[in-house]
Amino acid sequence: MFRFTAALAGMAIAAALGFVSAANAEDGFRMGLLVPGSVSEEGWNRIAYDALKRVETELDAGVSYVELHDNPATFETAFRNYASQGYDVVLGHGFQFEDAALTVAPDYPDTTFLISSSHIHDGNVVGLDTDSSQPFYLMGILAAMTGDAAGLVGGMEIPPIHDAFEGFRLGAASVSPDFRMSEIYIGSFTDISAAKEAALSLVAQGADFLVPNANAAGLGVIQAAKESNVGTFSVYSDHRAVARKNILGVYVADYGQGIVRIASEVKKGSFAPASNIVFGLRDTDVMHFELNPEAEPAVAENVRAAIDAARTQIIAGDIRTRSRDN
Amino acid sequence: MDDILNLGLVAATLGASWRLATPLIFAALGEVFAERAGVLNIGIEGMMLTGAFTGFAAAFASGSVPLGLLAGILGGMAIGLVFAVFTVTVKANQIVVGAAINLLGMGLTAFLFRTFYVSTGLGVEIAQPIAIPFLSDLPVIGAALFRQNAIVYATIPLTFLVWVVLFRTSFGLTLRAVGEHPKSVAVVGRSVAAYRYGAILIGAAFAGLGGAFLTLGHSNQFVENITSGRGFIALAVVVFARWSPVGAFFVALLFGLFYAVQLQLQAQPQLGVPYQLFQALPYVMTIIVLVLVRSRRGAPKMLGVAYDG
Repeated sequence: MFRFTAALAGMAIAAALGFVSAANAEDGFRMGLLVPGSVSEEGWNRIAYDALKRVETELDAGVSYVELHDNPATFETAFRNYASQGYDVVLGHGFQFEDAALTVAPDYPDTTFLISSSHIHDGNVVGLDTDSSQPFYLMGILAAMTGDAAGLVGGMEIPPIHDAFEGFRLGAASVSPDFRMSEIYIGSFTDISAAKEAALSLVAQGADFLVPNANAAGLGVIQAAKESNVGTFSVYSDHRAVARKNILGVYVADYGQGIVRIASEVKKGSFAPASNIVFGLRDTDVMHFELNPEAEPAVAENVRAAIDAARTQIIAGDIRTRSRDN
Repeated sequence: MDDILNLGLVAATLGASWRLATPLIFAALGEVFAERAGVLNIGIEGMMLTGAFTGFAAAFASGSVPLGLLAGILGGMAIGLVFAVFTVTVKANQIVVGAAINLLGMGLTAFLFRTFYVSTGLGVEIAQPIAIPFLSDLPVIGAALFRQNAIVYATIPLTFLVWVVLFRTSFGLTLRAVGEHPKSVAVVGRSVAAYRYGAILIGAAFAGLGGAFLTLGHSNQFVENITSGRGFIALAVVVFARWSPVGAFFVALLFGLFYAVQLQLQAQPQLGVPYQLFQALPYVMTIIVLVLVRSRRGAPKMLGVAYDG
């Protein structure tokens, strides 16, 4: 029995250290990935896995990944394992990988350690993040110039959602200080029914714009906007097919494209960031915010002009869309 | 935003309460059936999820809401049959089997959804609201309360039906006897196992219907874990209602009201109360209820006990 257990443990350790999926190009450019959960699930871990696959095909890289299932004891070993094999880039997909990367990085100066949803910049450890408050700022301008009140429905008050809503509020306030806004957090990312009722209650309280930010549950908000015939936005994914007339703008963040771009800079040897990396509207390959041409009523010309002007100012750094430091 | 005590807003909140209570009412009615027969089915969450998925899948394929509802009921019953085999025939611990059913429902529906549907958000046409003549024309409350879809209205006749079956038919009398004193049922030559199978399957059908309401009568699509704990709240509803179907209807409405009110209050920043307090309201209520109703008075005597006949 003991032997069997030991063998099993050995296999588990081998799997955890990434021996199972060895890279195929020993001498070429190689990228390793640490994910905190299963890549077969649609969502956070899948985003990183898809990005890794794109790096493999587009940059002709050797790639490998390891699923660590939120087991911090293994983080450092996993980083060290990739770096000691001479991997050029290792991405830790989540801020929880920060500490382990910082511990390992000084020993491997030739490896670039990237950390998702982190604001760190320390030698060869670089944090990556997407700043959703920027497109939300533009949504705020649109809503405040065309309506009287907006209802914001969030999943949970986590930093990315809090920042996005702050961006919306600042954008709305920049064009109309009297524009009314209320927030509801449903406390779930799956309860589509609660999201819908939250949105309907905001409409009953006078909202003529609904802003979802609750992953899958956000679809309930779009459904409510369709039934109440008020304006709304498609956030993170393109849901225009659900409510063609009511969705005024679509915001999509292609994080994978950002990873590919940075990996290619590392490959060329031109990656030398002065600070941590925040993808924003400036990164037109990563962050898209577009108005929906099928929206009814169509977005007015002066509103389009105001959005374009604000977009330019945000890209130039003249408008701050959130108070939290980058 | 507007004044909280605006009459139209109160009516809108009541309408929302009824819609939010609908899946709880169905699930709780089903659980009353099962528990009255002495079966503690904590697997309703998994059965609801299954019903939500099979209902969505059938409606997506056929474009028909009634067909979808039927599929939701059958999906719930299929999982119910698994529960019945293990608890009644195999006589396994009901709590353990129920917990397993919940995990099964969660994993199976997530797996099937990802395999067969790309999450584009494209949904189905849901049941349309029906305005009840005269009542829907009442000032203020009419439009908010009496423009619901048929599934929401169905909570009232179905509650009545469950009460009639449980308390005014021979079948109901025997079923309740199975939960109180199964020996006496066996002595008169009736099969305790058959009645428990029946009670579990009826309960699972209701749970499946409650789940299907979420995808076909409220939001228009399936989302992983769309039930988000409603099956567990339904369990608390049954205890609070002291195993009465009519009681379950009103208690579920109360829970729906709490939920609707908390959503409404969150949007009132001038109250100066942290929204987390409101968010916790339905769950705090559940705990208070379970503490207050801690005695087993009114509970079927054989609840959770396998019958060795």
